[in-house]
Amino acid sequence: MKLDNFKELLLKKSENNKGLQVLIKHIKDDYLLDYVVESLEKMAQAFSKKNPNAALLDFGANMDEHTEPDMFRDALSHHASHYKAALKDNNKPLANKHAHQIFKMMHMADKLTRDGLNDHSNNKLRVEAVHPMPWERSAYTTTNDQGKFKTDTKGWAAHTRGSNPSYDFLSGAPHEAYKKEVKTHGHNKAYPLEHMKVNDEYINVEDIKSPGKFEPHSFDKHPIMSNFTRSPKDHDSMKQDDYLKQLDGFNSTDMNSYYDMAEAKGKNIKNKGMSAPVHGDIAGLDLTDSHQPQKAEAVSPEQKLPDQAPSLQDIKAKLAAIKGNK
Amino acid sequence: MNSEQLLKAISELIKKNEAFFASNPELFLAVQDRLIKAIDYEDFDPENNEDPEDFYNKGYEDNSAISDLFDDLPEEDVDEDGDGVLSEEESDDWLKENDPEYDNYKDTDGDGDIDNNDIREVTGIGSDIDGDGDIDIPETKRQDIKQKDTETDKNKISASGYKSWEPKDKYEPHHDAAIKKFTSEGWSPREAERLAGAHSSPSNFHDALRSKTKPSQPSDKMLAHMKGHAGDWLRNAERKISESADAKKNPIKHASAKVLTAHEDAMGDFKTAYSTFLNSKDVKDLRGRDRHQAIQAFKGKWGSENPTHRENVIASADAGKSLGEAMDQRRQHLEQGKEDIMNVGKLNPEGISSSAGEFSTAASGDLNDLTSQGAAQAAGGTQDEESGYSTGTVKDPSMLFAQKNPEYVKSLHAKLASKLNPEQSSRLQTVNSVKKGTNVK
Repeated sequence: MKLDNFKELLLKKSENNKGLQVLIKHIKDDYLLDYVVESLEKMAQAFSKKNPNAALLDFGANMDEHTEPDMFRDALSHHASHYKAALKDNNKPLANKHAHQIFKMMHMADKLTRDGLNDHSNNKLRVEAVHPMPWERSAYTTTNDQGKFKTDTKGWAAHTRGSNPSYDFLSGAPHEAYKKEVKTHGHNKAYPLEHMKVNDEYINVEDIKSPGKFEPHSFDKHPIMSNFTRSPKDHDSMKQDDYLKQLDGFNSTDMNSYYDMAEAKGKNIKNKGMSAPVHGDIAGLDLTDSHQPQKAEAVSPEQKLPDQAPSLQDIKAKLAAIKGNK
Repeated sequence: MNSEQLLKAISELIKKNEAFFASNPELFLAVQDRLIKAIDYEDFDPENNEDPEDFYNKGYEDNSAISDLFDDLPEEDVDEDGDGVLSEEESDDWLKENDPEYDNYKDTDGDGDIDNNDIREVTGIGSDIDGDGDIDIPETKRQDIKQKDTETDKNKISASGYKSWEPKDKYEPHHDAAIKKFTSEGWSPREAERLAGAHSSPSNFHDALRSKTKPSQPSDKMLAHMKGHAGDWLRNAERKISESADAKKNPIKHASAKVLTAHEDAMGDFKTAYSTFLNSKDVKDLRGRDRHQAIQAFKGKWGSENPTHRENVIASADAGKSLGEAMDQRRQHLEQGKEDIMNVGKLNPEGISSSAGEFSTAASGDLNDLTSQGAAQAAGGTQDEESGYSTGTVKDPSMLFAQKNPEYVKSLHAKLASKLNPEQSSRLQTVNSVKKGTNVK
């Protein structure tokens, strides 16, 4: 494909973003190419990193919609409740430990389900959460000479960053570099942990008294939690054999203690709706566009007309909207 | 005119007259629905050894529904020069005859042509009325469209011969009860009628294609129901694409499919048996510890009845190694590509073409090694007026790429330089200067 055609494609794709269109129109081909190749390399890297190993594939295939996901939700609820309690006590190291476990679990679910794109749980595990990258970016704002951020965000994989990564960014506002995404989901204050859902049900964040030390959940001991980050090439048949042996032990002992705990609590693990916010109220990211065009009255009718006739897509969307309103 | 030509002509017509179709949504949607049905010609059986194109064309000839739509648009009248493509003039002539608002259009922008902008002036379709940067359809036009739809509904049969679906006046009592049950569950009345078995719609695809009843908007319940099926299809499609991916061009995709296939093979019939077990009457309502114990008992039994299952699952993990190899291959391929791009243009100055010389001076500044194009030139290639250089051999794609993107090559050199430590960098500079000084060939 000629670069001209490629540029045209990009221009078409950015129809709704005039600023981006101007940039694409005037950027030198070489720079454009450089950026595109860089992005593709990142995508290829991300794609390869997201390939699940045999343990994850086995975990997905053996999953039962009412067993592991229920336990997963209970574990998230447990860590979120303890995280909230630790924050309340201003015990940041303890809060970080629980946040760390939440990120680890979410990373595992992300690798397993690929955000629904290539779901190896076959739709048995459905986890919904606001992506943490906009908040994570706030913690890594140093830029290089070209204005690019020096440190990449890792999303749920942030738990792999160093030995004791900090999750303080969850209590702050998202970074303005992600304004577009933030506008889409609307969460411009502290990270909305209470919005997490597992199989269509919210996690249950309880107001508990912090025990002052880290209390694990039974799911933390699930062998998948210590095997999922290994790359497929490193997780060979010997490692898989070990995983299956660990799983046998977990199913016969740890699962029973989990049910003992659940039954002792004497309540249904399933929750009743969205819990109260985990983080306190803060001043959110300003979502107003500083480059907002002037009010419509100030623009002459000629200027209001788009450069081109509406595309077929536009017309189809409009027609679909009209049909839907009937 | 075969089906391909017809589709091209339709596409051309729609593109040239977007505003007209926007003001006649019924026609537009009918065309769209029919085309979707027509392309989804699922009865094709590859085992009949029939050529797919013949089958499709036969389907088109049989498909009176499409030609019915275009009774007003006979090909000989519109495609005057018979080239299978509608020119602007041909489309314009057709609009003059068929668009009732055509006489109202004026060449408002004075470009000597009545184009979409002019049509927009008359119809109001396509203007950004509220200034929100989005294209709007004015409320008056919206009302017109609604009015038209209402009239069509009243008349039941539209000009094109299509009618909206209507429930029957009377159903059998057991059908009536079933329909009520399904509608209470969220299905639309039409879907409920079908689910209850009370419909008299065509039961096979061919007859459905000829049906004159308009398609209806699926209910949310139906959409949710279909989502699961779509997920399976998408997964299967992705798997098929990955399996057939070129191992050289897409090594990771190819290896990824190999890993998944190895896993699927190792699981064998387990997934089906497991799913059947989980949905069985005795298990589906179990929860908590009881459910977990029942599942463990099933897996234990399955393992004893299929002694090789566990071994196969363990062995399948070794397929992950191919992914590692593929990643190495991709990395090497990428590095090789970058190296090729950086090395091209390092030609002997006496044998270099003018354009390549410009590139090499600008980007590499190092004129020592001989590339394949350089070799071709040395072998007697000739200069071409348009492309600058031509030989009987295939041109080096890295050379072409580097010629067109000198800045990218510069950035590659800069990146390479930044990776070297000061000692290596100084050594490289010395080697390059010695090479230049001695003009080593």
